[in-house]
Amino acid sequence: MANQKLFKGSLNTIILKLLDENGKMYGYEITQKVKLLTKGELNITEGALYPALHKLESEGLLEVEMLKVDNRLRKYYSLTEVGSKETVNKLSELEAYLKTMQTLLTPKLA
Amino acid sequence: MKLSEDQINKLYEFTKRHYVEYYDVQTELVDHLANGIESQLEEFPNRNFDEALTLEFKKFGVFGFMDIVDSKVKAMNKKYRNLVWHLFKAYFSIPKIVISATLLSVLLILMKLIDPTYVILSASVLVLIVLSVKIFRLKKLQNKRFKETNRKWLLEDMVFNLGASGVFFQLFLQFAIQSPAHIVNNYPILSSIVLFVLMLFMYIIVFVLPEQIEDLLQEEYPEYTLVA
Repeated sequence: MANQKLFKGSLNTIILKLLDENGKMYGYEITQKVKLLTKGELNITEGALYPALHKLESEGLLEVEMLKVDNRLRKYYSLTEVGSKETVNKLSELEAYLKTMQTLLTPKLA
Repeated sequence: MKLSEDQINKLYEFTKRHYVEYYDVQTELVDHLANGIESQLEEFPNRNFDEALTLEFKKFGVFGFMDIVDSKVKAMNKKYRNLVWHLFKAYFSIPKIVISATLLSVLLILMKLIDPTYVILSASVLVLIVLSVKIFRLKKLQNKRFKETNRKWLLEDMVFNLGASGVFFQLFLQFAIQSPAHIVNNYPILSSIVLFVLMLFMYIIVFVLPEQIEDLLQEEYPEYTLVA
């Protein structure tokens, strides 16, 4: 399994990107989706996911909706308008970071 | 296999036993646990509900639900401060600015007519009395609401506990008691403004927010009307 610490700083971006692609999602669904997409390489822990979701919600990037599903209530998260804009920013930040890392790790010899 | 209503209630009890006292936080955790348990029972049909629950809870790590409750409290604190700030700002724009200007003028006139130190001391005694009575009443009301529904909401708890603003009230009392007489006497306008701002914050925290509790809960929690 990949080093979880390396992913930690990108957790918010991962959540925003998933919500951008899937519309609304609930907590458990996010953990499973990440596991599926990364073929088990990345495992978002419950203890990290919910604090991140609550923080993004309090910053106004996410909004919530409650639906009754199978005898229980389910909390769905989706992007607000501000959240959609922030997703674009975060993704370009991450891309720039990846490029920088690549330059550092595979320097072209002059 | 979907969990029964009984099993869902067991999960609510489980979260309560693990120090999650707020219904809004419990609800999200219950759904998460239920999803995990259902998926386990599907994959391992020989496993029973309790075994699956134990395994699912272990995934939350050694601190259990603590980090999640903490993050929710932090987020709600921010929300609470925003609510107070939003209401506070309204007193400095039309139409409420008229009330603010009138009250501030009354304070200024009082400071001119009576010794400003006495004005501040009288105001602090009044605040103390009102605060004591109101805290007692709010606690009673909160207990009554809890007995009726058996549910505690995080925002409700914050509003009825005055947003843990003990520090703020201490600041008020410090200002009232410790203000050196020469500062108060030499700067009556500044003293009036500080006194007014502190009293306005107190009024919002102690009176306005608790009175709006139903609207606040309905706005904050989409599930509030579903379970009320």
